[in-house]
Amino acid sequence: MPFRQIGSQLVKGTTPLLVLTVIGEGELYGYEIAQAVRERSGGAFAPSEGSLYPTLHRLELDGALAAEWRASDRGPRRRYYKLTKSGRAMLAQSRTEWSALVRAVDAVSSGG
Amino acid sequence: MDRGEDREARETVVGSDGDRFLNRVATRLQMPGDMEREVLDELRAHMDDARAALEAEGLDADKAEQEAMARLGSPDALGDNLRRTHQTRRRLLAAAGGGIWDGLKDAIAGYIVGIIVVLVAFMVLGSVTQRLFGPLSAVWVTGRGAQTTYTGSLFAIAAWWGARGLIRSMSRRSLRRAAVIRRQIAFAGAVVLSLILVAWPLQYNWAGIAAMLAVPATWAVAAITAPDVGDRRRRWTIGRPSPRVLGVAVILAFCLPIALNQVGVTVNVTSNESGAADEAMARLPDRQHWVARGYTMVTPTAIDLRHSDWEATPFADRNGNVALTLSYDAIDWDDFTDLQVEAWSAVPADVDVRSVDPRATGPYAVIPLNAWDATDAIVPVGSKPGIAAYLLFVTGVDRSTAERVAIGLPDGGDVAFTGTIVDWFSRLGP
Repeated sequence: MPFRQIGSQLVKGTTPLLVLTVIGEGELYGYEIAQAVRERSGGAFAPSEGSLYPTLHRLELDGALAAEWRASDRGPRRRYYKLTKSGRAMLAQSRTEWSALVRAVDAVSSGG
Repeated sequence: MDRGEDREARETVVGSDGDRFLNRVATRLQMPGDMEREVLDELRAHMDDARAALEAEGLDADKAEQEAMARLGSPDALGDNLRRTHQTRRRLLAAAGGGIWDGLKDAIAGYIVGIIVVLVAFMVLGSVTQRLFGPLSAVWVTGRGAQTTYTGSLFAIAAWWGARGLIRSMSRRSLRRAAVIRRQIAFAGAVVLSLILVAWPLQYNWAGIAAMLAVPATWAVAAITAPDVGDRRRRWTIGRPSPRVLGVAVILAFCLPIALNQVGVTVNVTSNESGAADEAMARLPDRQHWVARGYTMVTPTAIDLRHSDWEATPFADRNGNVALTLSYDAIDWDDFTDLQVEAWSAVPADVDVRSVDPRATGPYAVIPLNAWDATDAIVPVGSKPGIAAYLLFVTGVDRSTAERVAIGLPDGGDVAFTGTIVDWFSRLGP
């Protein structure tokens, strides 16, 4: 694992952004989303799988995600999530806010 | 989700530990059955995927399952988080609004269907009763107390459907299991209905009181026993009928009495309100009754309530009163003192020879008459619980003998207690 795992509280706050980001690139179901986040972060971000589903359901209730059950040829049917128009707007806003936060934290931590 | 999909969803490799984990989650979810199944199916699929991946990495089946569960964390926390995500206060408030509207629609549907149920039940019951015990009194069939019984029965059916509809709708909308909300709805609905009934003056007999008290009770029972939405063990619950079914119900409500009458299911009423038995009234078999109670009958009649000496409204008004206007010349005011109109309980089933109830020991309402104020009397004939018919008498103290005498002939009619349910119980007793 190239990076030390990031603290759970910090991860919790970023979970919606991470979830929206990976779903923005294609329809995925819960396990795939968790795997995608873990792999793309090199293991640094490993969102608790227990917090993943409340986050997914919250985003769905907020209208950012749409979900659909699909049969699978390997195992049980799965619930696929995709980004809605509202979800894309939410993702763009989250990215902007995150960038602003990173810049602000950098500025403070670098003493500038 | 149909049965095929459900079966497919359950064809998984999650073992008994995994099932226990999911059951723990389910106990925390407190969601309607179908929604709960969807959440658990999603988690089950996740555990299957995680377990398969871990086995592919070299773990044995048991360790893979334990690790898959561990990654999901505490089942209690997972269930609580999912429940909090879905069962928000805002959603509950919105569900209450929508649920009340749906419950109202179900109550109206129940009322319409109830018209047929109650109509058939009353006609069959009445028909059987009169075949066994003879013709029924108007009091039990067409009297105003009977109307309250009929209305109360319809309301009780409407309350049953309304409570079930409200819980079904609120459960779906708020994503809360019926068991979570039904006690509160049972209590709140019963209280609201009871308050409405308590404040609602109607015309009651004992059957009407029972029917109206059954309304909040029926609501409470329907709510407490309401099944969970999506509970497949309790499919017998009747949903709201379609508009077409309701239309047929309305038509049937009009046609059924005619049809039942044609096949011999009918209720014959012995008689009705006052004035229908003038001839028989003239026979007045009550004289002995009055005499036995210490009255002296003053005859020939100075007052005959059946004729124009009095202008009486034989039907009690909405407040249970009968208005009498005495012709001033009807009484020689110098012969009597303490003139009054007395209302006595009568036997309603024997209208042809309407007689005083043998159990009556005195008048249940007394209104003084005064020669100086237009000789009007408003007699509260509907003020006493359990009185199904009344007889009005004018009495006064004879100046020459100093004893109270009954003056003239009585008249009366059918009546029902008029007031609220609280009034009824507060005025019970001798």
